[in-house]
Amino acid sequence: MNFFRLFFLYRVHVIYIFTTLLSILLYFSNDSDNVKSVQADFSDIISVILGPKKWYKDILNIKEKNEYLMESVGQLRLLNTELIHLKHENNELREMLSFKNKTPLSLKGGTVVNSQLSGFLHTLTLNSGLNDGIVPNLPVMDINGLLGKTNTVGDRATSVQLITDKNFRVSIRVGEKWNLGLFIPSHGKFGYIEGVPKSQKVIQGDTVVTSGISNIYPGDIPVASVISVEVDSERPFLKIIVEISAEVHNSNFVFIVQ
Amino acid sequence: MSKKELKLAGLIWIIILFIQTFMPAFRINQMVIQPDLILVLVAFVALRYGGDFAIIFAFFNGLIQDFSTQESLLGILALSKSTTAYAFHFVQHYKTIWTRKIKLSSIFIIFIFHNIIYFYFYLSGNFSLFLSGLFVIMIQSIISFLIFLIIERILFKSKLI
Repeated sequence: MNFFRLFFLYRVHVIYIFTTLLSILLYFSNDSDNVKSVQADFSDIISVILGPKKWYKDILNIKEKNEYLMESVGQLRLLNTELIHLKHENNELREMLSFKNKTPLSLKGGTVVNSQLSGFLHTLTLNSGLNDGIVPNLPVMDINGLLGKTNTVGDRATSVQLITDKNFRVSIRVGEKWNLGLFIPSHGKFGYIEGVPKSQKVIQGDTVVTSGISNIYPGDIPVASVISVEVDSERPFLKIIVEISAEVHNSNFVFIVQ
Repeated sequence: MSKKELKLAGLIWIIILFIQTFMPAFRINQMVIQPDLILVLVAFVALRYGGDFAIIFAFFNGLIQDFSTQESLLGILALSKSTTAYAFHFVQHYKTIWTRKIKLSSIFIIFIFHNIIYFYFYLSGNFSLFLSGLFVIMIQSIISFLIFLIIERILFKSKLI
């Protein structure tokens, strides 16, 4: 059925719609107050008719905004976590910088990129190596105390033998008269001191420091603090249990003593 | 339609337009009432010649009436007249189905409808004013209907509808 046939069939309705639209157009083209008043009425009617459409659109907009806000909240949470982490890192670095300025030791900073704290060997991997002037057997510490020593050194990375490693030993001084002894790790953050005679006075809370007689470790680096002292009548030495001072399990940045 | 009929129709149309333009309005209780002869003419045209021609005829007559009565609200009478012609089209369409009484009632309702549209727009959509003008609407519609009945009886011997 072509257009003209359709028009012929419905010509009365088409003509009426056309004349009505033309009349309304003429009427609203006037600029009198009466017309404005009717226009206002028409606007009210149209707003009532289009109300549900607007409501539905608003709901859709709110849904879209909600989804966007949910995404934003997720992103902001991630950012917040990152910022908290950065703040913590910043504080840690500030403390380390302050420590580096105070200590007479020549320190070089290093970032921990990997840690192996389970099993037989306890090691850390640093992102500094031969290219940065690192060589094997240099003491490694954090702001709290001795952490270990450099073991194998590559061009860009270094493996550190930790103080908690079963094979780690370090000569120390402890007690009222700074008697010599040997620190041996036992488990976790704990270790014990060998070789301090029973006659010496060592009390709980005493600090254990490196003796300085070793070729590797300079003296007076904090190693541990005494948590218990026992006297065994069958042994010539005190049984001293200590807690390692360094943050072995939570190190991000360390110092290499050069 | 023959040439003679066409000339006669044209003459009647011009006479009615002339009378409508210069016909004096009369007052009942401070209300101005003027019989709408063009509305009656539109009714006859729609019932005699069908909707399509009647709508166009009504639209142009309404427009002429708009220009001659009030230019500030141009389009009111064109709208109300063409709507009336469209409604008359249905009366004509069901000419053989509806009874005379139903057709007459419909014509009267269409006259009222015409006046309602006109007064609604004329009174700028003010509903309280519109309610007070309902009496005028009824009087106008009755007058137009009576004129329609008289002419239909005289000219068409009550056989148009």
